Amino acid sequence: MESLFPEAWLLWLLQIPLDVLITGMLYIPFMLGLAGTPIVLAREVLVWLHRADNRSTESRVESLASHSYGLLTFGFSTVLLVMSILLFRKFQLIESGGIAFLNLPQQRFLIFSLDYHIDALSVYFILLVNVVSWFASWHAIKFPPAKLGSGPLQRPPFLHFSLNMFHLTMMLVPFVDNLIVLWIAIELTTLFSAVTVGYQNSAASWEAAWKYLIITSTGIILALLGTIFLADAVSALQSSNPTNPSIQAVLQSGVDPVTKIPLDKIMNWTFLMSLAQVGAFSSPPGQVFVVLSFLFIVVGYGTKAGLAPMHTWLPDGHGEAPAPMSALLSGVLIKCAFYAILRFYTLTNVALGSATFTSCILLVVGMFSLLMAVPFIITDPQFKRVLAFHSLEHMGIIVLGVAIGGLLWSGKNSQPAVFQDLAVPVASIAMFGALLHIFNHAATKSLMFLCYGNILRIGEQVRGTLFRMPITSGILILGGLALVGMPPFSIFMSEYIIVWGSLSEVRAAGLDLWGRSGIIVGALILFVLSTSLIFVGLVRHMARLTLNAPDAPQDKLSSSPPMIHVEKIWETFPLLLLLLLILIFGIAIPSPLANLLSSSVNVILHYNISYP
Amino acid sequence: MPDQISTLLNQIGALLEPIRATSEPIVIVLEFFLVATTLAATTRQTIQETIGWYKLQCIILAVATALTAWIRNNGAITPLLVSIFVLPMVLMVVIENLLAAATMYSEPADLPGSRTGFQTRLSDATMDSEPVDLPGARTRYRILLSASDLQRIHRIWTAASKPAQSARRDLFYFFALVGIAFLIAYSIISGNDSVALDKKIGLGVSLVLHLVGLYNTVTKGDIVAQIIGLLIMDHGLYLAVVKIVAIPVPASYFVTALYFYTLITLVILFLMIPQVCGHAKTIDLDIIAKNSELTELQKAGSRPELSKGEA
Repeated sequence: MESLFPEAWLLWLLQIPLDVLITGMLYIPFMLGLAGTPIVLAREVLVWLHRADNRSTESRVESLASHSYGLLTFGFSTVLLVMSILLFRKFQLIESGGIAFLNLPQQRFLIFSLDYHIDALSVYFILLVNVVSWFASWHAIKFPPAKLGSGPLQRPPFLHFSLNMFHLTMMLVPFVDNLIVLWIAIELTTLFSAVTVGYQNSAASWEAAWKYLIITSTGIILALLGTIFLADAVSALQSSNPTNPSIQAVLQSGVDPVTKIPLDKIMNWTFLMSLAQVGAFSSPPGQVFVVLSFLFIVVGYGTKAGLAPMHTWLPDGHGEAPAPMSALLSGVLIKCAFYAILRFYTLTNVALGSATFTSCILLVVGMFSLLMAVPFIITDPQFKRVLAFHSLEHMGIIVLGVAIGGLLWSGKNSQPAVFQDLAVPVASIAMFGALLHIFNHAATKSLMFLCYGNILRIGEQVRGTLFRMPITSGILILGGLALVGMPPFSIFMSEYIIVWGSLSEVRAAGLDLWGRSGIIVGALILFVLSTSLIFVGLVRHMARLTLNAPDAPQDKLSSSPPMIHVEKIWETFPLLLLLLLILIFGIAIPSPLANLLSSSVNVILHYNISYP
Repeated sequence: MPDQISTLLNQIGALLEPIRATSEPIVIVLEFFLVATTLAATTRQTIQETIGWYKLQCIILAVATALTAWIRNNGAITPLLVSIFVLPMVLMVVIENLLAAATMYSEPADLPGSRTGFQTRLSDATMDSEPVDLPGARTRYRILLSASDLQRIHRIWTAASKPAQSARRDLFYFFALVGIAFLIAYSIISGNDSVALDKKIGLGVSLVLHLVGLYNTVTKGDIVAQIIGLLIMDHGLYLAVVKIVAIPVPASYFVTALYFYTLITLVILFLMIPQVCGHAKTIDLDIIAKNSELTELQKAGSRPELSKGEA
């Protein structure tokens, strides 16, 4: 990490206070979005002023403005990526001093006062958001206008504006401590993504946008209801006047000593964890509300995360959105929603003293998602929709990994006898694999969508792309192999770790076909069968797209051999970088990232962490 | 808060103090009226009736939640209480006009004499090409509607309203969902004192609004009904926040969150519905879905290698 910067510069950058760094990271996309508003409307004003006399001038001006805005967005995405790496480095230094998390209360952002919570899990997701956004903003620099219609919503400046605001809302999600503000941030992502799904201005795209809006809005309401139940758990606890001195101490820390009015932090995740770890929710009625809350959260945020059976918006939404937005929707948005589920998962496990209930719920949801994806990947004719169903599949794998990792969790940092020589708790292996899979899938899926976005620049009905765009198509083929879990790519690595962790748990639990082991073995069998079928499905699509399948008639529109499209360096370089990234991560996980993931696992499994 | 406003609110609170003791039974009665308006909105014959019942529900919700917050706050009237009252009332006022403005684009906008009302030069200037898949569809952002516009909207809404048969199905599912909601509420909350009973009824009614709103969103065949279903679910949340979350500070966070949610939903609806209806020239969801399938099939049909067998 140090070799990326000269040492003096690094020392200077590391002096920047953490709260300034975080606030700066939030202000940058906000200011870019704000600055973009006049650019979005500039063309409309020009046209209005000139009354359609000089369209070519307006087009040139708008093209210049759009490209400038795109470059600006990309430039500041680079700055944000560097800042997130700096944040990572600062967190490493803090963690090396034995501190697992930091709370930064009452930080000003615009007119709001926010409580930030920084731990390994949030730093990991911030890195994820900024890496994928960087690649998406690069691809969007010269994004063309929609083919149908020419209102302000179908022009590139609006796309750049949405990308910036979308970036802001997704960065807010891992930073905030308050669960209601977390909900607001996830709800705001709907605002800035739903309208861009209809960017192409066709009947199908607007129908997809409508479906996305309705289904995710319904889900988000249920997520808020789940959060309300958690608030009621605290309320019920206060009303019951607990006699346990630890619980009393925590409750009093959340109340103003003079007025006795609860402080703002009542709905902060760290405050709720403090209550949970002293056993405040270990008995009814608090326990009942915590369980109910988790169920509504899985359904509510699971809708946004694209988990089955709430996934019906996924293929249409990802399929119709412009390529950079599809990359963000698939690579980051669904992961941010899953981040919210992970926070509630941890809280519920500590509250109940066991992860069996929550892990069983997630196991069912994960398997259902995985199995639901298979027939559609094989049969759906549209490539972008197939990629969207792959998101469903991989979210199922991630949820499965988390569930299996949690099944053996007992609330204590203990190790089964057969694994006494293992350096890490066996429960954390599958969890590690699941967290790694989040990044690997985000990178690979972004690669696929951006590659396909490049192909769509030359036409929607293109086939035999390997002969017309050899570089992009070659990357697409390799990305496709990565997506279905072929070695030596990163998805294979994370899936392997999940399987390894699962088999370790079976060994630890003993071979009990009707118990925990049986469930894990059954899940693994279905997992292997599903991924094999998915492999067949995607290979078929890739062959059709890139090789122009031999039994198909020739393209009726052309009688001459197809022309090779000259691929520009700025179109292909980001794709090559992404490919290199997923290749490197498939061979070896860099140790800083591995340490970050291990710390994130400790956060989720509540190992060696105590909240005040 | 300025002192004058604070003094005024205190004076109003003092004036209303005598009725505070009788307010709790009034709130319970109002909650059952919420259930009744939900039933009416679900089994309605026409979209105009649904909107009418929804507006009545807004008024009842505003009064019930404001009374509850007032009782819980020991008779003091605070800005939070006022904000609790304001949101449903604002929705009651704007919803019909917003829905009318948005769904008006389902008819061709360039019939002779149809260009009435206020149209901005900006929107005229921006549309320089027609969507290829449905010629003649234009999207214009109108703000003020004339009487003839409203009449046209009511004709569209009447045409899209469902037949009487499904009202019986709706009734059956409604009562089933009410049963489920109150079963959950009574299972979760223990105790038989007045506070527990109040909470059980509040949670039960909130869950009724959620479940029935979800039912409307999922089963109804037009865009307006889906939106009303979402907004009914929103009412359920609103009631849950005020009745169940007894702590003032998180309640204010939740109310803020609901304001955000309502604002975001309305913004997106105002941007999105004209586009959806403008392309399909209808608010019927089945027709909208078929149109988009047709477009996709037409695209797929122009690809030489995609035949029926392969699909």
